[in-house]
Amino acid sequence: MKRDIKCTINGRQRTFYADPCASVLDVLRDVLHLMGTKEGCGTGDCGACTIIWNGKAVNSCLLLANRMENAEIWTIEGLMKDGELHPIQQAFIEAGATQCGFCNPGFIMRIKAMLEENPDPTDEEITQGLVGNICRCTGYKAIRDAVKIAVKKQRR
Amino acid sequence: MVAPLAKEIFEPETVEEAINILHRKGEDAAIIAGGTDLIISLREGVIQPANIVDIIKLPLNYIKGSRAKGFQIGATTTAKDISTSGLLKKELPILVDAAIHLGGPQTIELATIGGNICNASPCANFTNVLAALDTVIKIKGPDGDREMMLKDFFRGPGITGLKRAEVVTEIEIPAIPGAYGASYVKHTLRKEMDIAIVGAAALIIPDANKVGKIRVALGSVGATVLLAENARKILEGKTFSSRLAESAGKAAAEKDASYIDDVRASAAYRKKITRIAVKKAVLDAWSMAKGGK
Amino acid sequence: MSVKKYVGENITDVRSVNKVTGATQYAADINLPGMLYAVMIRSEYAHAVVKDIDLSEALKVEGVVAIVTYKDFPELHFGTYVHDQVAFTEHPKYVGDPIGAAAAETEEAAEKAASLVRIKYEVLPHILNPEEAFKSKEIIIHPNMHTYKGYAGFFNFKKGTNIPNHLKVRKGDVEKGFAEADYVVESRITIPPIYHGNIETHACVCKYDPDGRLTVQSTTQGPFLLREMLSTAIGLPMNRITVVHTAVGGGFGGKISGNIEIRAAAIAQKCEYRPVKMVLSRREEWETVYTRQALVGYYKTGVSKDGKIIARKVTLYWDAGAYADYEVSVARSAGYMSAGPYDIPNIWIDSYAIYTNKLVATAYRGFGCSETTFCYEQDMDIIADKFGLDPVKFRLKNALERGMENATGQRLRSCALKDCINLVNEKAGRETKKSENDGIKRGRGIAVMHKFTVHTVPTADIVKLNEDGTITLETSAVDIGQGSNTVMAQILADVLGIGIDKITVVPINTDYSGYGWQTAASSKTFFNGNSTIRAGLDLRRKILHYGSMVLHIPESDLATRDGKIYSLSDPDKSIPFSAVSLGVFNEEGGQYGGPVIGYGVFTVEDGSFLDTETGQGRKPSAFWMFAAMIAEVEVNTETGNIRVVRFVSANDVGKAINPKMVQGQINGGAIQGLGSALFEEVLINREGKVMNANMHDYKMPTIGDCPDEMISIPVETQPHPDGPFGAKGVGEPAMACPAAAIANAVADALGVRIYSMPLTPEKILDALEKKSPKEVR
Repeated sequence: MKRDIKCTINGRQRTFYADPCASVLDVLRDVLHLMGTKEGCGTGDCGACTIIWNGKAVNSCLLLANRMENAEIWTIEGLMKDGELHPIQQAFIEAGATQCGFCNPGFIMRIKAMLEENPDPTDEEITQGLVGNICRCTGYKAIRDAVKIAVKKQRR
Repeated sequence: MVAPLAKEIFEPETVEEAINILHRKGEDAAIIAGGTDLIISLREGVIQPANIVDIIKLPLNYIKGSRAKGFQIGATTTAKDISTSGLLKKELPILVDAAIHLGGPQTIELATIGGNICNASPCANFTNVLAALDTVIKIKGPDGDREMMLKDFFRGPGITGLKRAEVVTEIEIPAIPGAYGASYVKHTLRKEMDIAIVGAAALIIPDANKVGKIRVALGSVGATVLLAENARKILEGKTFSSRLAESAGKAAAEKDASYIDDVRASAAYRKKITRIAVKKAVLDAWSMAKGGK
Repeated sequence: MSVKKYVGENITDVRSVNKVTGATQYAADINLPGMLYAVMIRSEYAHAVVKDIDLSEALKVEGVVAIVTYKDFPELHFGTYVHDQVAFTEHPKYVGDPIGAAAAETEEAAEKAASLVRIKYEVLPHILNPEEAFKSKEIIIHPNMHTYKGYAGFFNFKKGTNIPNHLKVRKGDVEKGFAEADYVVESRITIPPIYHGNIETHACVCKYDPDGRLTVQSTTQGPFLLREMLSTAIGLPMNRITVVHTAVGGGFGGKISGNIEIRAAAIAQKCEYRPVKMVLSRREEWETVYTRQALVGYYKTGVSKDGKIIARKVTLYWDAGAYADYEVSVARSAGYMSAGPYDIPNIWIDSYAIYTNKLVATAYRGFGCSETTFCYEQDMDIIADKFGLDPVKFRLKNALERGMENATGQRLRSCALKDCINLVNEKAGRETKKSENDGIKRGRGIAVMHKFTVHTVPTADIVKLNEDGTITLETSAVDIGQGSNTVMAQILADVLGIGIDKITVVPINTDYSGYGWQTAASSKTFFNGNSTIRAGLDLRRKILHYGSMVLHIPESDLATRDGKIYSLSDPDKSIPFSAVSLGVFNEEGGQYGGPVIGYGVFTVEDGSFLDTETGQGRKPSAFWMFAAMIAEVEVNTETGNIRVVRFVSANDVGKAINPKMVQGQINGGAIQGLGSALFEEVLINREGKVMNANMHDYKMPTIGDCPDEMISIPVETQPHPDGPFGAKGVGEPAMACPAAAIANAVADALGVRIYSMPLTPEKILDALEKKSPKEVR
């Protein structure tokens, strides 16, 4: 049964009418029209729908919308600030980590959460941190490069 | 827009409230904790309950105790909480290991230890490890509280011993006094993000050069996670040697485990791996018990 | 005076800002007012005839707008190369074959309605194995095959069989070659179907207007092919169909043919002129849409004592699945490259496309070259081993080089294969690090490949000079992530003499873009690069002409740079492009010329078909690409698990217009190849149903499965005389070598050969047991 749900999305307080039994992914896309979060599998295996929910990077396909109540949610649309790309976004461009682009939002949100927890990950920590996101285009090398570039940018 | 996955969702704040709702709704309700397994089942139509009871607000997120006295872990404690717990890293690293390799980082954030158990998958990481630790499941329900040994908790794939309107509230790991070793070997095809083809967890409490207490639990080689009793008998009370570990592996593979062909592996391959995984788990556990790790 | 050049530079992806901000619009992101949702009604059986179909319950579902089945449409056959499909079928040929579709106000209602359609089938016997289907006389999947229309050269069928295409290559005297050979090696290869693994599933939105026009927005690699297929399948003339491609979230060949678009467009006819959206779930995508073809192949190779390959015979059974789609083309092209990039005097090849009752196989990055490379490159190592030759030297001895003729008699005008081999060998170094752990064996393997492209696919590009002097390129190349928009912008910037930031590349709209076949066959850089150059030159010629009139300087003294037309002899005299964007105005207000548009086409003027009996032809491919790779692996001999620790790749690209993007292709192909080598297999049960249509049971590589080291080298020693700045292609060759190189590395580590993909731990252990049963504890 639909009801009013109140939460903070990308820094803005929002109230919307949605079904708490729908997935957060569906609510983001179909109710809030935040289309940057992608569905790749619907089973938590590809990471394309990763968002940051109360500070945690989670697959929004595996979260029900009741958990949006009073939550703080960040999606890919919230990363640009004052017209400037987030350092991770810049790093993706510089590293050539954008091929088809479909996995990019999920990767970027996952990397954001990862670097917030661990601002200078080792190679092995990068690997462990990103195994939940599938990219079919890049062979992951450019994505790994992007993480390293982002680490440098954020250190500055 | 994909359809909502149920008609109504409840968010009880106390265990009693949760039990009341579950009692009222009967068969037509499912509990959600982390949701990483349940939502897939809902989406695929494997189960179609009208009501979902979200237990995340219950005060069941805690890690208490110590190795000397035993641990109490609340049912909604997430794999992330376990993987980052300083206490567990120091005192029960095998559980941290199970948490880290449970799935991708996004899954680890949400998945709970209680959910991992109640999903009753024979492949589940926590279940496999906890079975080797003589874990007790604390249950609350309309008829009061009760306990079950984890090894007796499962009836088959996806089927638990929970009665109507019962909720798993806590996982209790008995005290492991003195020197001990514990190891979990999860064999997968991909390096990470994979379901165990075979899982083997071993707990050893040494008695000088002899194996004192020993538990070997197996995952993905039976309808439920199971204890390898034949392997235990081979090891228990014997002077440890790598040959003994090998015999235990052989016994587990030939007598304890049962195998089927499925999309992840053939029965024949699982059998080979069971032998190796048990041997490795036992060797690693012994080495740890003897201060190697 | 230094002028910034873009070709050869690592320019960043021109559309990357939208990608990293989530602003890129993919097909599933489109929402239009009044939009309906459609879902397919699919066959539950691998082979059947629908006897009765009852819609009564389905039509009662609230929100249902239309349900259509095969009964509602004339039986218009369509297809990519062979017109063997209909939009909805009464005679389903695989589990999932579309029988009808339902459209409703919500996806939920459409799904419910589809599930309530009651279908009675007469179940027919089915056939899943291509070798059995090849021989079968009892089960004929397309009894009317002889009545189908199809493209010459791609549809060489035998009536009354399951074989829609048979490619023959007959060169020299192969039996004589074997008789003369000192050593003959024979092998059999089996390769299962695999998925493209595009993370974005198929999706589209179709809408009719009351005046009979159809607009389709879709995630497609080939808008023009899609328009052609829609036209044939729906019976609409092309001028009434608009196809616009959205951003494509991964293609790899899986989004080349029209598929869900045909069905969505069909049901949209009955949907009150409202837009109809169809998006496949991961499960539906993988249970019912496309795979790479399975293969059973036989190789026989004869070698002389001095290490020269003198004869090779190849028989390939390509499993097309239920419809020919691209498989007839794969059978043809993979057939004629199947002898490998070697100078072999005697060649005999039979390559068959075969219908089975499986889901449809289509184009897949490499068009069969990864599969054939997997076989012939393992044979190469066996032979080298037999003669005690170094695998690298043995390959160098037989490798094709510029000026030589390949298997089909095409003379090579650019071939850097030997450079590729030498480079990977040099970069990989001599020694293989030995593992410290006893249970882990380390090995190294090399593989080399060649790959054709196409020749019969002209492209046209249109360049417009805007009033402010900026440029819009209406490309006919679909950028599916490989970076063609960026590459075309680089090329155009250099041709015109303008900053790349002044150029925008817009996606194809079939109403106004020039014709371009599709993103396939690693052809875009070469074909569209050339037509973009010509369009740029056409525009440049016009603006120099107008500039000459404005500046009163002869054209011969004019050039362009930085968005300006300037005098070579007096560079201070210049005007910006904008001054002539609408032609030339005289002082009285009269006008000469007009808005400036450049137009460029590219065709392979000296292309040729293959002779149907001998497979010989002067130029069936516009160019050939070559590559070499060395892989190093560690194999756990207890569990059979393989870990690739190192890839060193060199790809003969002619010229890297954008080296970083070329490396992106090589790295991506390497890991996609690694997946096919180690993990990936579509499991189909005896009823023809897919068993692992989800991303946990079908395992694509994660970052955790990647080698610690990946070296990717674009080789530019042999620019192609016809290529734009010498460039050829790279997308498909990138995926050709990994499986073969890994298999050779495994053999090096363990001394066992595995001729079936994927190299699962189970196969490794079985092979080790067979090798030395005593060693097994």
